[in-house]
Amino acid sequence: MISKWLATSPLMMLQELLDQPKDKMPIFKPAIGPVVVMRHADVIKCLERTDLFTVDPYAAQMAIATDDKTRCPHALSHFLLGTDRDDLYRLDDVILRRAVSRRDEETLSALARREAEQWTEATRRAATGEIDIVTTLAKFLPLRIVADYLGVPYYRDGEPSVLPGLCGGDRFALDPDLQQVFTFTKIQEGIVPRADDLFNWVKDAFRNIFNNFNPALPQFAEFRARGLTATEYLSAYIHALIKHYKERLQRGEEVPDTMLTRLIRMQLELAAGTDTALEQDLATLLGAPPPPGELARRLSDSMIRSNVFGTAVGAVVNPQEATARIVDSMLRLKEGQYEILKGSTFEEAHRLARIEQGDPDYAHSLQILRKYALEALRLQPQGEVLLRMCVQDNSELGGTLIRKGTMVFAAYAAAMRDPEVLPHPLAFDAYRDERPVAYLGERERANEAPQSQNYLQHGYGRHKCLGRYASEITMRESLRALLRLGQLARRSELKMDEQILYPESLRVGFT
Amino acid sequence: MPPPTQPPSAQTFLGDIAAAEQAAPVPPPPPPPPSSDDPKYAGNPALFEQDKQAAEQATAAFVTAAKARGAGWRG
Repeated sequence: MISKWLATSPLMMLQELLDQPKDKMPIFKPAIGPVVVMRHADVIKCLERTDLFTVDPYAAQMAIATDDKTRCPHALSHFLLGTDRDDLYRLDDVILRRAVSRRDEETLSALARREAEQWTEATRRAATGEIDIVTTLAKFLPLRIVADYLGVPYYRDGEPSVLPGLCGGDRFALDPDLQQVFTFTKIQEGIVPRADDLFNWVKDAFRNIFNNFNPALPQFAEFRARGLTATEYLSAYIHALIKHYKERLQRGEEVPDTMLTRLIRMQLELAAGTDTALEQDLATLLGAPPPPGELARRLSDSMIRSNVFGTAVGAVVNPQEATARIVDSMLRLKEGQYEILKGSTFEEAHRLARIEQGDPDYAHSLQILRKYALEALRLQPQGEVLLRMCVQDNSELGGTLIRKGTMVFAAYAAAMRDPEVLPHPLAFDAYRDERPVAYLGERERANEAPQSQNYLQHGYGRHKCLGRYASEITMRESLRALLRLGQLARRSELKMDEQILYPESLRVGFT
Repeated sequence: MPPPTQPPSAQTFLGDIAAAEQAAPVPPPPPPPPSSDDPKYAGNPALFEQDKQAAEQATAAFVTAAKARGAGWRG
């Protein structure tokens, strides 16, 4: 019942729960099934209390991207999005947040801007006066980030790749070194991906990890099999990239600066003893040095492979839907569906998007366009809940007893419209106070930007999205590029797939 | 169970839940299974067996009712 409502009318359902008297229904707890937490304070607490509410539900399918424990009993088989064990989580967290950093904002902005402008130019040349956001900007800006920032590139059919002698679409033998530690059951060869290969791998793996929990659904087995196949292709390809770039770095050759090559550099510099700063920095952030040998273990080829895999898998379909939702929400703003506060009109966003680089107001225009994107997404969020497992009987959420083993839906979409913390929650206000807080700012998140308590689309607390900076830039640049096309008008509703999980089409006309 | 592509039948979520609860009542959650280490069972294996069977029956009834309610979820 809850699933059906979340799939078909999530905002209506969550609003109904929020509207119940708090003393009578602090959280929604049915006789059986998952608990729904909808009030802001409880959602925040649920996401912060990782000792009580864990990400365990995601762990099993994430583990299939790691080394096979039956072959390597001592292998690590976690990805940080699927574990709340401090001994596993914290060291990976500080390593990955060093490789994917807020210091890359300029690089990310340039990447996203270039990709966005290519699509809008191509759209203008096509002279149809229409763009489908889902299949263009929303899909390809995240893919560009995965290719050029995370370091997992795709190619046109026949285009030479970075892998020697291989072009886009070419097949390659599975590396015996990888087969020593990783079991392939679905594929016999790897593929150098084209854009659609990479997109489908990421989507299939993402769906299997985050949206495929119910064996009673008819497509459960198919989605599981597709997830496994995608995991094998992506793992084989990332392994090939690691091997290639590692050899080049060992020969002293230049390589692109990406998440993947940064992790390889850390590994090589650690092994050579030339980067003592890395160990010192991590010790400072963690409050104590990692156990001897542990850093090298976390920077092994296998861990680099599974961490790049996990980051790439999280970096495409969510931003794609987010961009589609933002555009849909902005069109609703234009159509008069929201009360408008502080002059946050569609026309104002349109004006801001046309301010050119070099104009004194340019930097300000980008800041406000980012806030337009966040506010649009707050009102039409991508996804509505984060899944957590209660691991200890407790009454921390609304004073209601939740038993160990209960699934908890932390409804961040509801929290973002809780009138107790957001005045006029259903109105569009691009100038809202974000209420930033420095989560763990004195320790391992010291280098991170503060996180908003009002905009929860990238999560909150420990599992705050690793790709939040890239994602926000993608959202902003997609919106800016679209607004710069001209006067916009909706040509279709946002069309979702059969399971109402992934966007398929949103057509926008421009003149 | 078909994929959730149809809009909910009732006008409100809580109305839908109430209708489901009426159509397929769920008994109270089963008690935890008894532990043979519990002092109250010392020297009284028959009582332990009786409580164990009661707990198993309650669990089975609960699971059956939960299935009738369509328990299952999507993340």
